[in-house]
Amino acid sequence: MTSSVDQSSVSEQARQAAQDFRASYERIQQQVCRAMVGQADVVEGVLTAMVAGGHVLLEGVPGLGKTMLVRTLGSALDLPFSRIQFTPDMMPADIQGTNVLVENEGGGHELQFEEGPLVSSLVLADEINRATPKTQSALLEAMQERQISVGRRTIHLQEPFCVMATQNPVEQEGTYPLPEAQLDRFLMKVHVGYPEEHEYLEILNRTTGTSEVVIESVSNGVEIMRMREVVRAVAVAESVSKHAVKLVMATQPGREMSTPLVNENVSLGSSPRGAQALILCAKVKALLAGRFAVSTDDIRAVAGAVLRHRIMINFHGIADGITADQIVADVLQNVQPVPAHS
Amino acid sequence: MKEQPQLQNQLDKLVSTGRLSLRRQHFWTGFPQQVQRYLVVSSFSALVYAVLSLLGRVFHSESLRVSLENWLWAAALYFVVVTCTHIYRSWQHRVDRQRTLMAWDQQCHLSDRLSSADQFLAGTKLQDSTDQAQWSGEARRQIEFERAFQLAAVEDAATHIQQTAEQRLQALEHAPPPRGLMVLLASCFLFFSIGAWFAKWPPLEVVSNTETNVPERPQNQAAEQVLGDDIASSPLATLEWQQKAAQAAKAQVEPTTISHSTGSPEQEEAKQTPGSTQSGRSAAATASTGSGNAQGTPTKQGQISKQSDTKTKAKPKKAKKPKPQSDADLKKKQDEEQSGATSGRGSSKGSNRNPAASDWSSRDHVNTPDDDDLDTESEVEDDEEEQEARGGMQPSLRDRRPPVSRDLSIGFGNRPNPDANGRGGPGQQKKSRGTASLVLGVPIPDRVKGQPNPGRTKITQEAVQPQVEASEAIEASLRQARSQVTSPLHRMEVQPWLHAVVRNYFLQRRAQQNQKS
Repeated sequence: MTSSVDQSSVSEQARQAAQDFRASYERIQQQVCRAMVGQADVVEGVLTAMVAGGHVLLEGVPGLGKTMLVRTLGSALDLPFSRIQFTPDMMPADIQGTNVLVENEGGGHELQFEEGPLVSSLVLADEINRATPKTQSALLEAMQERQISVGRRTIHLQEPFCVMATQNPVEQEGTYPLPEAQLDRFLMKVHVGYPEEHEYLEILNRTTGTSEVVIESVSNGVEIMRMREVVRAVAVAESVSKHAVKLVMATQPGREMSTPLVNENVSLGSSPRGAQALILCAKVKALLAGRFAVSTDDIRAVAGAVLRHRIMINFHGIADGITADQIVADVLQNVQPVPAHS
Repeated sequence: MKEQPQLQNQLDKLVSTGRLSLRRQHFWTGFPQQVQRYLVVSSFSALVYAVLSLLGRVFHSESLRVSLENWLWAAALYFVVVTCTHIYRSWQHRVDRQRTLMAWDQQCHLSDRLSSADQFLAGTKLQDSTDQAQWSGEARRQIEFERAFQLAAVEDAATHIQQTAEQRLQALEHAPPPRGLMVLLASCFLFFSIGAWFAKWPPLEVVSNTETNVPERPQNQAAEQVLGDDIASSPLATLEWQQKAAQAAKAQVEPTTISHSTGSPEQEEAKQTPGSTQSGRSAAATASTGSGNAQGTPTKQGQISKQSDTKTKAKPKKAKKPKPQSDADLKKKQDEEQSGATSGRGSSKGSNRNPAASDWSSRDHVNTPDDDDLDTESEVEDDEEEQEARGGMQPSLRDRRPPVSRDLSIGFGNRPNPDANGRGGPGQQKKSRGTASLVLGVPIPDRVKGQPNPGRTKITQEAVQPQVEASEAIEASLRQARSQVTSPLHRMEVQPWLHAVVRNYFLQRRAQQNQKS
């Protein structure tokens, strides 16, 4: 067994890493909040997904600042930023890149690969549900394997790579719902709601005056990668992992621990990716709370944002107006970390 | 930083105290349920006690009578057994170590610090015992980094252990009391009370004989009464007493009925001749019992409907012409017919002006003759009103309209022929149009695109049996080479890089042919 002095030095390393993590996080958050009024949950969700190494899906009606949030984050992180406005006639080559005939020095022509907007660090996929499934599926490989395959060419994307997609729940005409496989690749789905009254006033003051908010670059890709490493190192006890697994399994109909509401109204529950996402997001939550180990409270706090887009409501549930959030709430109520009567 | 064994000891103490609290909680959580089960059994036993007491009262059987004290002693003994069993089960209840620590975490709002630290301490021992030399480079650095977080988590928990040890683990959540506990208790008490009441009440026969003025027991049995109910209620004595009481009752039947007969002679006669026809009963008795015991007997209303005069009244009512509907109803019906709406009645007959329109009334709708009469009448009235408006009887000109002219002539003068629309009746042939039709003297048949002949195509199918035809096969040697090309030949396009090869090949073949020739 190592001596107590060695253990103190080792634990001091973790304390220092966690402290640096919180400092970096707060710097980025402050810069984002300079442009973004309110929406603290949304900002926290986006930053959590960013430092956890995942992608985030923002859903909200137009005009709530979804695009501005992502642009601001790109400015604050000093990372290559690209925006893709998805349309029904967009093709995979439009976002991945394609071979273009260019003239070389000798006067001849040759095919040269022109990278698409997907080859970036921060990708804003605006109104992602307006593109066809063919184009949407072009994001799958980039989101999971961090690479793009075009023809015989494979392009490894530079880390940190984060796709922040937005979708509009109101205008459903002319949209293509995201396939389950792609929804599963998003770490979190964050609902962007309307601001409060005092936030409205602040928005008006900031946006209708002469002053313009300039976002400073307070971090970079290296620091983000360092933060991701710290997140991965946060300890998780076995009982906490078991609770995450129970929560995920409770969303799957037909399981022993699934509730009657799940069995009747859910056609597809969360996948193991959901459990991974629960743990990763809970690690960020624990770090921000000043702890070095994940608790079941952290798991339960992020369960809504992590699981809501991984639960597919069946026809019966849609007819009854059951939402995924209701399912998650029901699961949280029925799956307790410490059973009261055992 | 505290030493790990010291932390482990403190955690063990927390677990031991927490287990005690959780077992106590388990006892009090499950105790209401045990009480509920106990009350269910006790209520049932009380019910059995009440039934036995009732049966003992009816059959005068001492063996069925059990004293209340015995029942209560048995119930109390059963309660003690149930409680002791539950205490034993609660003591033997296995409380998981992790669950105990998580309960501490939950009570003290420690966010699973204690339970996580306990698991990390166990994991640290394991990691120390395993060989870490197999990890090297980046992987070893990451593992050490993760271990640093585990140690930090343990240290973080150590700061909270002391304040946790000073507290006492409360119940996590009280189980809701089972429903119907008070109802069961009340029913148990009620059944015991009823049973006790039955047990103390005098026998049933004594009560009934007393009510029917049965003569009292003979004087020689008075001593038995003095001795008490226990002796009087012995089976032998009761049997003798019952026989004598029955004889006395028989002897008193006649004077009892006569003494109560204060009505008219007819009523008395009727009362003295009771029979199955109930003719001997009084009017009041018949009226009071007639409605109760007459199965299938028609009531007064039913009898009235059978009367003949009501039948005669009903017949002309049925044969009578239907009552004319009000103007509002007729107008509503006409509007519905014109608009095609039937308001769900299924009588979508439509207007009679269209002879092709079929009566597609709903199959679910049951057409009554009255409905048909009403429809035809309203239509006749419409026609009459229309003819009256035109000044008298008018011929029906709907079917006499001339067919549309198919004349394609230009017209008279500069005016176009209004009837030159090219369409005619069903029997005539459609005339052709266009430039060809302007050529005089050239008959052009009317052709419909996609059909071989004008009009409908008739397809006939005939069963033709295959027949053998004699033919002579041509010998292959008699066949000659064809003299010319009978079909277009495909000219193979040669790729540019093959041009030279193909050219050299044919040049060589020509050279060989020239050499042979």
